Amino acid sequence: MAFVEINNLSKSFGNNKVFTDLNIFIEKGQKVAIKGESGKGKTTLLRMLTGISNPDSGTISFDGKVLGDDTVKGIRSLIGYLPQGIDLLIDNGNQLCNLLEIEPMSIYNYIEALGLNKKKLAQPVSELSGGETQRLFTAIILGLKRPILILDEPTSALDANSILKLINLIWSMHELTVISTTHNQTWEKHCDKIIEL
Amino acid sequence: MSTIQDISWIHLAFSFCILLIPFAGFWYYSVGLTRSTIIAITRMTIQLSAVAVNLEFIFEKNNTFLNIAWVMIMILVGVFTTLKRSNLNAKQLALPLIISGLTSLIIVDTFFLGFVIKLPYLFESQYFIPISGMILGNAMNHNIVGLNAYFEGLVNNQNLYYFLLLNGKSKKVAISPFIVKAIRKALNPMIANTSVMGLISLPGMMTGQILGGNSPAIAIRYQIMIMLAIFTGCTINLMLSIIIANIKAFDKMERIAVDVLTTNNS
Repeated sequence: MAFVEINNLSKSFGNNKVFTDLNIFIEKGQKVAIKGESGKGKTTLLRMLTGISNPDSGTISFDGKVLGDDTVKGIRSLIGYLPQGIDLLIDNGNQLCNLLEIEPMSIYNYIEALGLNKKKLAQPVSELSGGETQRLFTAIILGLKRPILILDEPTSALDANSILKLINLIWSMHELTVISTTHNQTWEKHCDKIIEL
Repeated sequence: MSTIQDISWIHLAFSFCILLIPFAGFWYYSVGLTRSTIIAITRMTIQLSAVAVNLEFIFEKNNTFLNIAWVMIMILVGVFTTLKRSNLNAKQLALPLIISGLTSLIIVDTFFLGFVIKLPYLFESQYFIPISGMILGNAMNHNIVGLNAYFEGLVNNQNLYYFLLLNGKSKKVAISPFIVKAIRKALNPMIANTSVMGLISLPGMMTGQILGGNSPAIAIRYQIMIMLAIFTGCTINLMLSIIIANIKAFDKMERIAVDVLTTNNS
């Protein structure tokens, strides 16, 4: 049994079939990229993986537990999730750490590995560039120390150098399972598995 | 203390002439508020006249059932006005708001009428109706601000809610930034107003009591009591409204039931 299993998943919006009988099996520690043109359902699939959206049919299971009303809380406790376009309306990184109950000191190493200064945690998000915000929030999510990371376009605001730093950091965590959507070829090239929608 | 000087209907009608001054200002600056002001003042006059007739009857009878029924009507009007002005789904949220209004009133009325004023008869119309009315009227205004801020914040800033929820935080933690913001937005003006009471504003109840012939010392004690009652009543009402409405506002997987919250059921 795979660590994350997607079995016969179908989803449509009205007459538009986003995907039919989708099957994906992800082993523990694998880094997976979901790719496809815009509108093919990449974000929809991530929303279903996190239980925000329901499939029309099929099942999703994490570590043997099928995602449903009774299991959703436990499954979400396994996940670290970073959405695309991070507009969280929070003041700064420290506030986000506080909300997620993360000790800021515990993520200094991630922040530095991503090429940022730890002082960025206290800086207003409105003063950070898109790339700095994305790296800072990624470091915060890594601080949750969850076994599964779900990342929606994790490199969308990053330059080539920052992408490599992110790849180096995440790929150094061998036990970490990553499910990501991407349009970036460097990221895709490093992934163990590519799923084309 | 002398008793209050009566106002005859003719003199009351004469008092409307003073509106010519603001209307002249509206005309001079082309403000465009004359029509809506006339409608508002006409409605206010008709509503208060109708209430006066009803209250004359209710006060004369001083019947427990009638008094409670009148307060229930006030709760219902307050709830539906709140829902309409907050653009919330009346079908789903009316009951939570009615329960909140009723509960806050039971707590505050029992405490102040029963234990502070020590009325021998808790539903004495002279006390029960005006004090409940003041609590409900204020609660309605603060609920509109608070509920609007809470649910609008939740619907428009779903990213933050889902970000916290999907990163393993409980629903309680994920909604806490929205609750804090809503309560602050609703209660801050009342706290500011309370802190300058007597300096900048002379409150209506106190003024009414003094005009009615009571000594300022008694009027002030009543005013302090009513301010405590209003603040407590509004806070309980708003917090309970949010807590009870949350039962309907999320599904079993703790997703925001947007269609439940808004009047737009698309």
